[in-house]
Amino acid sequence: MKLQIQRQDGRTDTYEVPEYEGMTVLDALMWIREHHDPSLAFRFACRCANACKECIAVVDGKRQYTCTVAAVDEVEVAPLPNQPLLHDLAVDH
Amino acid sequence: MNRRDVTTDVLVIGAGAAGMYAAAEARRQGARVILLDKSMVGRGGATIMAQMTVAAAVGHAEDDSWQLHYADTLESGRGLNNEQLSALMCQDGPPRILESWERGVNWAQNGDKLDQVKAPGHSRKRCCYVGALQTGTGVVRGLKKELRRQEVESHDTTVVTDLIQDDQGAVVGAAALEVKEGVQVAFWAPSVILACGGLTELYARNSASVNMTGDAYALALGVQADLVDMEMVQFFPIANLAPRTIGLDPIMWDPFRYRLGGKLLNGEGEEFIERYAGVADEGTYTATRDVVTYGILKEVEEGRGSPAGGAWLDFTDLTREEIRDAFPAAYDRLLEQGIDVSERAVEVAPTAHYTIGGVRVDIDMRTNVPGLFAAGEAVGGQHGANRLSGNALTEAFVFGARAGEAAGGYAVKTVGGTPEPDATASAAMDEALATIAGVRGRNHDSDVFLPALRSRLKDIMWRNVGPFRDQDRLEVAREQIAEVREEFETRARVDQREAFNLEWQEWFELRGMLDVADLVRTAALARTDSRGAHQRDDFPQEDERLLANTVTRRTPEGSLDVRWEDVVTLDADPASWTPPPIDTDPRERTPR
Repeated sequence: MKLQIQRQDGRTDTYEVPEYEGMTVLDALMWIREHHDPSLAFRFACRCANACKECIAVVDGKRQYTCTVAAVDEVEVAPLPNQPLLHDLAVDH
Repeated sequence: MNRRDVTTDVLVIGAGAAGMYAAAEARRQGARVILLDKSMVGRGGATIMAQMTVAAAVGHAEDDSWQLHYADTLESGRGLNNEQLSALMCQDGPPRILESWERGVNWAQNGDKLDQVKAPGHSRKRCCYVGALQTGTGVVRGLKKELRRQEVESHDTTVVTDLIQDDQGAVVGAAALEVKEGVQVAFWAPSVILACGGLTELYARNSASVNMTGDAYALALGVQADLVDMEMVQFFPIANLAPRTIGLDPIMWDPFRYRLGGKLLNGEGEEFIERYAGVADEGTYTATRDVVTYGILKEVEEGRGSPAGGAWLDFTDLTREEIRDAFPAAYDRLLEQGIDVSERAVEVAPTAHYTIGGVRVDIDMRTNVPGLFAAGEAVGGQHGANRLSGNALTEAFVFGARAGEAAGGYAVKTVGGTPEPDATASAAMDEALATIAGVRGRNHDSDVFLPALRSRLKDIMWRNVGPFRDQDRLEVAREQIAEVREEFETRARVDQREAFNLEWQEWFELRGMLDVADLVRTAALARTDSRGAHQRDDFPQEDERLLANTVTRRTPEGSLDVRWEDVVTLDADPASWTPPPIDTDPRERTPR
C-alpha cells in the first residue's frame, strides 16, 4: 500500500509499505519508523486497542484514530489542524 | 543546554492509576506534588487499557471478606507472596473502591450497590467494573477529577532518565527530558515515587502500551534498589491471534469468557485444559492464567495448535443476540470487520501481559534507598508467582494511596521541605543532564535505527526469556542481548532536532530495556524450578528448597547480584490483622 504523510513544513513524503491482513495506518507508520525514517514523529501508546486516543490524525480528510483505519491502497495522513504542531503528525492535544 | 530546574516535595513518576492515586494522597499530606508521565497523563500507562475488573471484597454481590480475597491471592501465588503486601492489598481494597466511587469513578451498579462478578481464581463475586469493557477509561476519568480537586501539577511527555542521589545515598531528584520542546529538566524532590511499572514492551508479543519499557526497574537498578522475583512475568493466555482485529484490545476475549463462557479448543477441536489444570474447563473459565498459557503453548509444541500457532476460542454455541447483549459495541465492531463470533471461532495465543516481580518495598512502599518509594505494577511480591485477574488495579489504588501518604509524610514531616542539593547531588544532576544533551544527534547519519534494535531485543526476549525457559535459551539470550547492546552503544542513530524527537526518548528507553532484559534473564537463570509464571523446561517441577524470593541488586561495579530471601510472612492471624500505621520517621529504622 502507499502512505502519503504530511511532514514538517508542509512537505509530503510517500512510502510504499508492505501489506499484511489487518494492518492499520498506525502499523504502517510504525513500519516506516523501523525501516525507513525513524525521525518521523507521531503520538501513539496503546497501539491497537483504541484506548489511549493519542494516535488521532487527519486520515483521508477525516479526523480518525490511525489505529482504527485499515491500511490498504492509498492513504493520506496529516496532523490535526487547530492544535499546536510539535513535529510532523504530533500535536500538543 | 536548554535546562530547567523544578522543585517540589513529592515527585511521582508515571500517571496511571497508582501514580494518580499517589499524587492525590501526597497532596492530602500537605505536600507539593508533581506528577510526570512520558505519554499523556492518564493515557499512556497500563490503566487505560484495563478492560475488565478490579477485585475488592466489598461484599455487594455476595458475602465476602478481605481474608477470603487474601486466601485466594496466596493460593494463586504458590508460596511466594509477600504476605504483608498481599494482606494490605486485600484489606485496603474495599475502602479504596468505595472512596473512588465517591470521588467519581462510575462503577457499574446493581440498584444502589456495586455490581460484582467472579473472575478466575476468585472464590467470590468480588470484581467491580465500569460499563462494557470500560474499566480503565472509567478509572482514569474518575481519578483525574480528584487530581483537579487536589490541584496536582502534572507534566506530560516527560521521560525520566536517571534518579539523583545525595552523598548519603538518598534519592533527592530526577533528571528528565521534556520531549515536546527538547528541554533537560532537573526535578528536585525529597520523595520520589516510582509508579512507572511494567516491562511487557520487552516482549515481541505483548498486550500493553508501548510505554511499558521497564522504566521503574531500570531507574531502581541505577540507585542500587532491590528488585524481587524479576523472573516472574505474567503471560496472558488468550490474546487475539487471528484474524487480526482493528481498534479492539487483543485481550478483549478475557471478559468475553467471564460473561459468556465459550470453549477453548486445540487444533484438533478438543478441549485440552483438563490435561494441564486437572479439571475440565467446560466454559466455566476457572483455570488460572499460568496454567492456560502453559497448556496452549504445550499443545502447539506437540503439533496440536491452531493454524496460526495458538488455540481456538469458540463462542458458536451462543446466539448472536446473547453475544450482542453482553458486548454490543465490541460485537458490532467485530461484525464490521467481517468477524461474526456467533458463526466462527477465533484463534488466540499467549502474550506478555503484566510484570509480577518488581521493586522490593516494605509495607509503607519504601525501597531500601531513602527517599525512594514505589507503587502499582512497579512493586513486586504481592502476587507471589501468579497474579489473579482483577488484582492489578486493586494494587494500583491501595499501593498508590499508601505510597502517596508515606512519601508526602516523609517529605513534609521528616525532611521538612526541599533542602538545597549537596555537591554530590548537584554534580550527579549536571552529569545526567549533560548525558541527555549529548544523546541528541548521536550517530545521526547511522543506518542503525532504534525502533529496529528494539524489535530485535523483543524477539530475543520472546524466544528465550518468554513463557518457556531453559538454561540454553537463557545463555543464548545473554549473548544476543550483549550484541544488541554493542550496536546500541556504538551505532544507534538519534535525530538532531530538539522538538518531539522520538529517537531521543527511545535511546534512553532502549538503554533501560537492555538493563531490564539482563535483569529478568539473570533472575530467570537463578530460579531453577518451575512455579507459576516462571516455567523452566529443564526444571519442570516446583522445588520446595526454592520457596523463597530472588532479590537482585546492581553492584557498585555494575554487575547484577542475585540473592535469596525468605518470603515475608504476615506473622499474625488474618482475622485480626490491620496494617500498621505509616511510619513517619523511617530514619529510625534500618533499611532492609
